[in-house]
Amino acid sequence: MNEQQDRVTAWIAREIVPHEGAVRGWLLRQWRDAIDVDDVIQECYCRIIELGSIAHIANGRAYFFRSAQSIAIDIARRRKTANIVAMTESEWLDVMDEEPLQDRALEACQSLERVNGLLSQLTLTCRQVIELRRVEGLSQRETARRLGVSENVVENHIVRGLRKILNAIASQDADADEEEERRIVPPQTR
Amino acid sequence: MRKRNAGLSPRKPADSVNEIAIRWAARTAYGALAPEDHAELDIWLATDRRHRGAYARARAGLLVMEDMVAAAPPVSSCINDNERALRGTRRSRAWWALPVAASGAVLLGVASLPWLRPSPVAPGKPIAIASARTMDLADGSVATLSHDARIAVDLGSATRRITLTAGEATFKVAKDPSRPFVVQSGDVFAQATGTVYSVSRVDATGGRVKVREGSVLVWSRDERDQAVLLHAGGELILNPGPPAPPGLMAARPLPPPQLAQISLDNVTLASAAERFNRVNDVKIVIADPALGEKRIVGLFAANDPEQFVRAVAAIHDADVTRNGSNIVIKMK
Repeated sequence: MNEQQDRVTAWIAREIVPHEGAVRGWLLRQWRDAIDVDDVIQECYCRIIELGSIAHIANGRAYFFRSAQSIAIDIARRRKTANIVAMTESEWLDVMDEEPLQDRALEACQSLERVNGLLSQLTLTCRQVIELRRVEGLSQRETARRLGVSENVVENHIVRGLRKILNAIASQDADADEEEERRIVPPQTR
Repeated sequence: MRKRNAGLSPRKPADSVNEIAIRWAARTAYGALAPEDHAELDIWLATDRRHRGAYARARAGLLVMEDMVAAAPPVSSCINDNERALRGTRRSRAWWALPVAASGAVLLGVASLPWLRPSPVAPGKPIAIASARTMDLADGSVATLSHDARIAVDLGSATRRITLTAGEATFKVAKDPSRPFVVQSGDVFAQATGTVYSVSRVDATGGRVKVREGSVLVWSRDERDQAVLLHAGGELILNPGPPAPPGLMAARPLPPPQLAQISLDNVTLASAAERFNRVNDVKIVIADPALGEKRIVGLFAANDPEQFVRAVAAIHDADVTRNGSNIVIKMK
């Protein structure tokens, strides 16, 4: 992978991935069975990684939502199975939140940790591998040797960890949590 | 040795695109890819847009996971909390031969995605940004990262390469003359052998380099023959701007530095010419001893004495003539 893609990938990790759960939840509520949410999400990521530069995108969350909507419309149109309803301005405002980036990020973080305790789900070996490779700069072979395992084992732990992380990201839906809260706790008693 | 690609073909037909992408991303970053694996990955990526999207997502997921682990208390016995506490007082790194100066100028911060901080937090209370994000690299160098910095470390047998994709990082480079230490920020490269310098990202392709101790060679993209040597206290911002569209320039992998370049660290022209002459059939002759005593700084292609001579002629206002297969430089 070249340096430009690395840069875009780093931006995706910071500005797009935190919102995947919300985009998925919203897609499901908007479109129900008319589209395959995985398809839409993958196409979103594909479009972003194909961009030469992401410097022009001021708000990753908004970009993600808009891309998802436009892709979903395309897919549904091709399938001719759904009534396509254009989003009204107020519906967009509901989806886009105006909080400062930092606060949103912190909320997402707290929610993820609270619900999943994600770090503790990674195996010890997975964490050790990451520390040795990325923090200390050891090679794959040196890492395996240091941990006393085969290189295959190293890779398997990373695969399992990555799978858990991505599943957690996909299932984290802050908006749905809020909706649930509203249902469970009626407004007047809050 | 068992053939490795068997692990990547889906064992069950229901394996999703995301699952395959996860395995490819993990193998690319943490495994070993044989040439046939590379080919298989390229084919898989080329087959479907969703494969490319899933792969980008998986690679981003890896960064998220790495940041989460890096921000948490370390679990490896070699990076323990005691070592962190002692770092400020350690003097065992004798080979720096440089005072570990009061790092007032070193940026402190956390190189992690704030949204995935693992420490438990009371609801509604903002997480305080933790302090120093310092990394011990395997070669003994130390990297201190700003809160939004991101680096990729690749310590090979011939070079030590750091890629800075975001933020700012300061490096205390362990001396290793056999392996140049190169930090890349966008299209800007900063190389040193034993020194302290910081690099920060500027726009998409640029970088700012500040040297605290020692000397650092800085150049951009392919222009290594115009490298600038920065000394302690020196600072340089290079922003080469967007590269030409890929169709116009064939991507060339950079040759290993020590094979392709002659790096001149304010040496005399006489000794520089001698170095070129050691590796080239076309010899450089400096006709005037006075000219031979003048100095030059820069990074030049080792197999291109003509290029070096042109630079000398321009800098020192000299004349260039040919004498048989030799190139002669003399004062005007």
